[in-house]
Amino acid sequence: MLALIALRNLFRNRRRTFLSLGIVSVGTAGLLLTAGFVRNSFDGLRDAVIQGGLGHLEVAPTSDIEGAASPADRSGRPPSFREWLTLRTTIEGRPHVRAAGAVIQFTGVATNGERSASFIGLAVEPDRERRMGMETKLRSGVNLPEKAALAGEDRVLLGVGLARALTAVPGDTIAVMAATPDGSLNAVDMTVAGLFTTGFQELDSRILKTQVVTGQRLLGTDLVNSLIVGLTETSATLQAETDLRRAFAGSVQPLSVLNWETRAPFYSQVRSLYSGIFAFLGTIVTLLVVLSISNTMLMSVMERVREFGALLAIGTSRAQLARLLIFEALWLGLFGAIAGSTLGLSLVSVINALRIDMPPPPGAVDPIQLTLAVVPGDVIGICAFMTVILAGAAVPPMLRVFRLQIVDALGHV
Amino acid sequence: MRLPESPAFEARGLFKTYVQGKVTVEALSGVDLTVPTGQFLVIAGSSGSGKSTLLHLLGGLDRPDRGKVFVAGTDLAGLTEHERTAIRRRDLGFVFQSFNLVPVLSAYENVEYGLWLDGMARHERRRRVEDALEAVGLADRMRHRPDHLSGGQRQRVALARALVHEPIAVLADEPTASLDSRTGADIVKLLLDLNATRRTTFVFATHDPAIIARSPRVVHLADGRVVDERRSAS
Repeated sequence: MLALIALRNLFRNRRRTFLSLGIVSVGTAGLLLTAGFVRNSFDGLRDAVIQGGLGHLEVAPTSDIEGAASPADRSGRPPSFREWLTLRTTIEGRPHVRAAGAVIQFTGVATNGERSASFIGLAVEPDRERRMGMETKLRSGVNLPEKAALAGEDRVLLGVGLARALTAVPGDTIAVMAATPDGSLNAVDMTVAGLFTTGFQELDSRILKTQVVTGQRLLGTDLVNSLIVGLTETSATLQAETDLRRAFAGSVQPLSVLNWETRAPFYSQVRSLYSGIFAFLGTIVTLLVVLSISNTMLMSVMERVREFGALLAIGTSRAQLARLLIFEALWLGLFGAIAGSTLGLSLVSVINALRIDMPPPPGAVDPIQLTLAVVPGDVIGICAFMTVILAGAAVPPMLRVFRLQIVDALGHV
Repeated sequence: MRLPESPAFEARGLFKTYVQGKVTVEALSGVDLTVPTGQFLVIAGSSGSGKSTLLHLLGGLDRPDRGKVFVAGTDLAGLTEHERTAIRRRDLGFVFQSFNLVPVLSAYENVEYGLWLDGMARHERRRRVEDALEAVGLADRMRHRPDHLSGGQRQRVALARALVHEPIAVLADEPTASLDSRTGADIVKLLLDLNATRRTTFVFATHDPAIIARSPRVVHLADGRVVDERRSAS
């Protein structure tokens, strides 16, 4: 019955109730928009990390991760493993795995005869990258061919900054030099297939990509450093990681399996930062809503002092009156949250449809589109949070009711 | 109807003062009063004589500075607020000058409310509420909210609310003051009838001479003291 009285009490002063509902709705919509922005940022960053080359998992010789051990390692380059073709086949047969591709990391100097620039090189398998859904953001030219290049037909993709330093354009030939595992210097002439961006200016001025076969020719080896694993869905990362660890537990060469989040610590840092900002904004919005509603409820209680006095006189306990106020706040929270969700989801649709470009983040190249990602869990969570948190708005009016003297309340005008 | 062997109310040496700003008002100065079960008592007196204060103390709505109040033999002074609330809910009924109905509840729901507080089963509540509204002549107005009822009808609803749980006594503080004389007379007649038929104790604060004249027992208060008492032959 208290819930019924509380519900009906909301309609006693409709203007005030609608104002209160408006405050709760705007607060809910605000939280929903912020959550949508943050979620989209998290998802976008995660996908950029995974599809930008890290993949979901990396399988590499343990010494890769735990420190250099072999003679090759002591040369300063990452250690490698020989049985990578067999290993790749094994990995691609495991559950949730879409594809696995070899990677060689190397450094050196590139030159077009007139200008030279140091680089960070990645040798990859383009067909496997495509199957893993990895994306190369080409600015001009074409991607690396999927078919392994024959000697003398080596292709290279240059970061846009590196290409600028070398004044290279697609179709040009450059010489790429790197130290081999035995310490000698080797060079391979490569045709610039295209120019690409990683999205980060600093990296674009140093990076180049070529095929694994070209990398092996340059380094005079048939080894690779690691295998990048792409999964069918990101949510299966932990499961696939556990599965691969178990599968390789008894392998001759100790292997490590690392997930993308471990390999990209900046993701966690960005996530922590955004979460902090979201928590800060959420706290402010929640406080504003709670204080506003609390003030409105206090006014409502002051107008009903005589009624509360009568209810106390006929045997209502103060705890029951407190529950009445909590119910009123919960009703407000529930209706406000529903209205706010409707408002928020409408705004999300409008904002996403407008395709608003935002300036590139510091160090980034491309502008980012303002897109809000809302999932049902967020909507339900924020509605529940708003409803429950409004119970807090009932605390000051409850304290007022707890202090009421029945006789004074009955004489209240 | 519960009829205790002890008097419905017993007040011994009640003192009560109020502080209003810098002024101390002595509302009651040593009032002694016994109200036997089933009696219809009017507490008469002018404004400020202490009628309402005495009613509040008898009903456990306030505590005396000195003295004791017994309700059906129970000393209110020794009770916690929770126990006093329970006594008000179960053993007493209240009727106020300005009705004090819950405006968002229908007549039926207003009467039902106290029974719900007491945890009574729905079917039993229904029977009692319908009987109570029938007794005050509002069987055809059960679903009306207070703002759709006349002043007299609202006071009848308040009376039904005060009686529905079959209390030991009903305390009414100037229940006819907000009504026209004819409606007020009807209400008093109803109270007297209910007192006669149900043997419910009524303690009635008023300064209306017409009502005082019809009451079997009248206690006059002035300046917080009992200054006169009249009992009719009946």
